[in-house]
Amino acid sequence: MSVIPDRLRLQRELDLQADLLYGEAEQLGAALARGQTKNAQISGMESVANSSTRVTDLLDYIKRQTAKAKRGKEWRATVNGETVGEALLRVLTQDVPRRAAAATKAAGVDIPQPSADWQELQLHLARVFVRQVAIHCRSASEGER
Amino acid sequence: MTAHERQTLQLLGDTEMYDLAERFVARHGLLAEGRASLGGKSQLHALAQRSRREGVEELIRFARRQAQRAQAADHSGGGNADWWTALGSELDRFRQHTAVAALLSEHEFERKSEQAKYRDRLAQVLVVFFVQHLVAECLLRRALNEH
Repeated sequence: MSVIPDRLRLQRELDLQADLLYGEAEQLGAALARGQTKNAQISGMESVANSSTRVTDLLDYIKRQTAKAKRGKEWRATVNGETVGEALLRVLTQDVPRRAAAATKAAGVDIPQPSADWQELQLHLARVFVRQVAIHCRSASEGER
Repeated sequence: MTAHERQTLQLLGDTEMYDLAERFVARHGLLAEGRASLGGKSQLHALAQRSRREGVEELIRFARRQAQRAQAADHSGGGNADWWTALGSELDRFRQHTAVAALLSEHEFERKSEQAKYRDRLAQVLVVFFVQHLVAECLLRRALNEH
């Protein structure tokens, strides 16, 4: 089988898996808005996600922002008993790899773990998820004004 | 070793450094806060800054000095001295290339990069990643532990 159909199939499966993160992104984006997170911080998260080649840079950014936030505010606003920061870290370190694995399985593509290609898949899903969170946060912030 | 292989190795190494940093905090805990105990955020920031501009050897010396000073101050029940000592030992694994050799071997790069110079460079890159992740993890856990 040629490489191009493999990639297209994988892209389609990744898009489907990214859609499954939508509900969580909506909830976390709304919580960030409730916590009055500044737009600059949300843009910062998007910028790190889009410019870095490593998911860990994004994880460190979220950890640092959560550490700086006051209790109950911004990245420490709570959602279902955990802070938004912790919830974001959980999604990025647990759900994203699980969804990436599901996408490769459904597409019938074998990508070894760990490998640079595997990292690339996770980074792709992480970027989509962060974009969704940012959109929901801005939309919820607008709604509150 | 090609630039692409080097980049791949750094990428894979970074993920391992992230896990290593989380394991380090899970095992050794956090620095105790306090003016005289040489713990706290300012020490972590100093560590992060040093990791970006200094070599592995100098970082190890810094950790050992911190351990001695914490021991002398002894306001943390010895906890901070233990923390800095453990960090010194962890950093020493980079100096000895233990961490690097394991990574090279695991990803079958060892035959292509037997030069000590390359291992030194990789160790330096990995140590920066490790410290960056360690500091972020410590800051997060410290904030979440606050009452």
